[in-house]
Amino acid sequence: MRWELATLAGRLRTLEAERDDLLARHGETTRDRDLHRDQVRQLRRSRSYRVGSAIISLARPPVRVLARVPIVSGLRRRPATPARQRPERPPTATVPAHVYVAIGLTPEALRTFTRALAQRIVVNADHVPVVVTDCPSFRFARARGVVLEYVPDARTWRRHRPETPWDDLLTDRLDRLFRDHGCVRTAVIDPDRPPTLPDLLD
Amino acid sequence: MSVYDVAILSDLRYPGGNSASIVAEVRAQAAAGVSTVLIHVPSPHLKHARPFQARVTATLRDGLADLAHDGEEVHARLLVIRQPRIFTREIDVVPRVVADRTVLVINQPPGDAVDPERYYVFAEIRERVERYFSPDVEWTPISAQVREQIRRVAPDVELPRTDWHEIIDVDEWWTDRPGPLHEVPVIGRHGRPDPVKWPREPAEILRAYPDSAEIKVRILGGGEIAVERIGRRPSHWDVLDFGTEEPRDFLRSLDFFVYFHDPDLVEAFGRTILEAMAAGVPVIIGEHFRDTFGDAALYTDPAGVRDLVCELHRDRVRYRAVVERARAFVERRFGSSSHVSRLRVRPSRPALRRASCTPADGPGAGFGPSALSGGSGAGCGTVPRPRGSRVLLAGDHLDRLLAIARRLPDRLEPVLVTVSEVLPAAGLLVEHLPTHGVTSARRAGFLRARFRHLIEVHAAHAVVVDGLPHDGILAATADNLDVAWLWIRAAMWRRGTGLEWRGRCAAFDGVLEPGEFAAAADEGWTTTEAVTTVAPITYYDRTELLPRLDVEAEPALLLRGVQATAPGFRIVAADAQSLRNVDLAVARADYTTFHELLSAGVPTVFVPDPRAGDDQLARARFAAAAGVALCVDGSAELDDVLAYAARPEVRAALAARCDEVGFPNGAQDAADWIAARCAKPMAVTA
Repeated sequence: MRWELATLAGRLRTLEAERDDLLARHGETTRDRDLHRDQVRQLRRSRSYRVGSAIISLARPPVRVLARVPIVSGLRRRPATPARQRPERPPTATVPAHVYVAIGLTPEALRTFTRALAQRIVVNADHVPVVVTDCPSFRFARARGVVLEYVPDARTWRRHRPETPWDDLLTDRLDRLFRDHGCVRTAVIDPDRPPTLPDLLD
Repeated sequence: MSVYDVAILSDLRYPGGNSASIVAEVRAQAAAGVSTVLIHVPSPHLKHARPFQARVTATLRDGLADLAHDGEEVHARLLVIRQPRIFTREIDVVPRVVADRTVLVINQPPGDAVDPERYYVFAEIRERVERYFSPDVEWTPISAQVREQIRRVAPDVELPRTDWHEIIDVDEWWTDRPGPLHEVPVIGRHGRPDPVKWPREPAEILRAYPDSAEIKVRILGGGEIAVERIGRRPSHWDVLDFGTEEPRDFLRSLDFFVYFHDPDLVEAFGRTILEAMAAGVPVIIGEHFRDTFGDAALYTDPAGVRDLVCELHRDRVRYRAVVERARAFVERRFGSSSHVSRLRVRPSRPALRRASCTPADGPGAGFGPSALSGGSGAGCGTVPRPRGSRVLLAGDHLDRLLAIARRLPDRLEPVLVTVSEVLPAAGLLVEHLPTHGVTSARRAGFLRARFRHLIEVHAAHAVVVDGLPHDGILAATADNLDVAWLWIRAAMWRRGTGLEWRGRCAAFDGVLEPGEFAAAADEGWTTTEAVTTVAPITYYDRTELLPRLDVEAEPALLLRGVQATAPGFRIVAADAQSLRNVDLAVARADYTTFHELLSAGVPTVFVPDPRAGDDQLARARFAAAAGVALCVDGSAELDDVLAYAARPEVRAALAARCDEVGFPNGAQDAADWIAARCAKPMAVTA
């Protein structure tokens, strides 16, 4: 449970950072907009602008020439056919990432899971799966379309860094990964029963 | 190895009848205990990325079929291939399928009434499929119409006596109706948007689908094609986009299903007609469908639709009779049992109960929270150092970094940062930099952010980069000014290459060049920028090498990156510490291999890698000129050189020469150099 909380804490931290960033940029944009509005108002009130507008209005012809319509007497005109409309294609967008926190899986279970994820992406490539693993032999779990991110496992970490809780490492690492990969969703994987393809499609 | 009863191969993204047919067959098979695997092969005609058709996905989700893994061989008793158009071009990756029997269901004719091979050239498809899968493919049309078209273009191909007709589960579609549902008759049709699915002439369209207060028209999919041809949208038409309603729900809203198409189209089967019948909707179609649907449908031409609809709408008894006759026909001719028998496989699983039609053991439990497991355990052979300042050792040359790491003073704790997926079991803390999933455009930003993170997480005092200082790393040096940035810069660049890395020394607090035995032959750009250098770096000192075991056996041959054999030698695997047990080596001349073998005094034939970035040829030739090794370059054949090197007196001379010109291990000096530059106190952060 503790590291699920660490995962959520990491995600929360990322969202807070994104919110603060957006607020800062919004504030900056608002200030820019106001500044430009003021400048436009001042320009319109200026004498030179009024003189220029008057000159242009005098130069414009009083009557606008319409587009010429060919009319040939004696011939029946064909009705205009509507232009064939192509179906709109959605604009290409970056595919978002989903982070799967797969801590504590055996190498075999990790491999089975990443293979299922690879199949899931074949069915619908609606996201990039990023799997966070603490399994040092993760190379055997490589699967097409699946990104593997390694974090030192808790026991190794405690041996080297006993002063820093491993949960904090995971929180910080997930915060980093969320931002690096553009994560929009997180899932925590049960190491005893990692999801199969049917589960991932559910 | 699993052997499936049936493998179905197709493009699983097709939006229309092809996927509907697959789903129907999968469900029928699952209900009968027949195991199924789906094999997805993208069609060249569906260019844009799209997911599997939703109902196909549902069969996977519900566990009714498995999905084949890319690149893995599939074994099945029966392989059913659908949609010949998938093979109009060579497939990039041909699925490996081993099947006792292969059926290609021709569910689309090769052409139409005007051009018999408008959609595909049958002979080409046949050649490809038989080459990919089996010379004994059963070419099976789904209907008499398709059979006739095949005969036109390939009269010699042997076709089975019966067609691989569509199937449908009537119970899944059926909605009972005593008579017409609406006071004003509602006619309609559904299908994917395709111009050939509609009459060509606007007048024909309006005859079949009147714009009249007497009849209401509902269209699901393709209606915009008819509207465009007519030139206006009829006020009594209700046009829905394809996919906005489930066909089953749409059919429930109709009193009559009416389907007319381009006269040149050879409709392969008309699955939507079958669906309408199964849903209990009387069907009005053209005479050319009679061979397929017999007395189950009502036949007329577009001009006859209005009268037929009005007549039947008034006669509820006859209406009901048509509905019941169609249902009986569909169950008898196109029901699931007819499909299972044509598979000719003995089911390998228990039949599923009809009510659930889900696997008996249910799908996996899926996601769920778990207790902290404590991790899977990393390789841990040594006692970790006492805590002190941390140094990130980042790079590709793990052997060199590990050699340095083990010699750092106790006050410096190394953290290895590598792109290699083979994590060393050296008792170190290791971080991995992924290369997959990061595009080249994002790489610089990714590296910069990741280094910032790693420095922060590990409170690193210094970062040692053994590799190329990419832009992201340079940016990281600027972001983290209170960290000592040190570059281990390799020498022996091939002449004229690597110039883009010149000038990057300025970004580092120190640059060290690991020594080269063949330094005198170095023609690379680093010779123009003198930096601190140490002796060649190897993991083990010569004194740490394990002594030779005096065992009488065939002499041992070690291969590193090269395939070779030598008569009278047995091929061995030896790690760096056991090299004294090797009598002869054949190897690439990369930095680590080159210096390890020479340091251990192993008689070696170097075969430079022509694709390597470092100047392996210069190393190998220098070693040959120095008499410490032999070299295979363009002028000599490996077999000849190997035969010469195998001679005991030659090997003895090489080993003796290695002892003469032996060089020290620069790893300790490199570690001391790093330690000296890590004496800079870290800035205190709030």
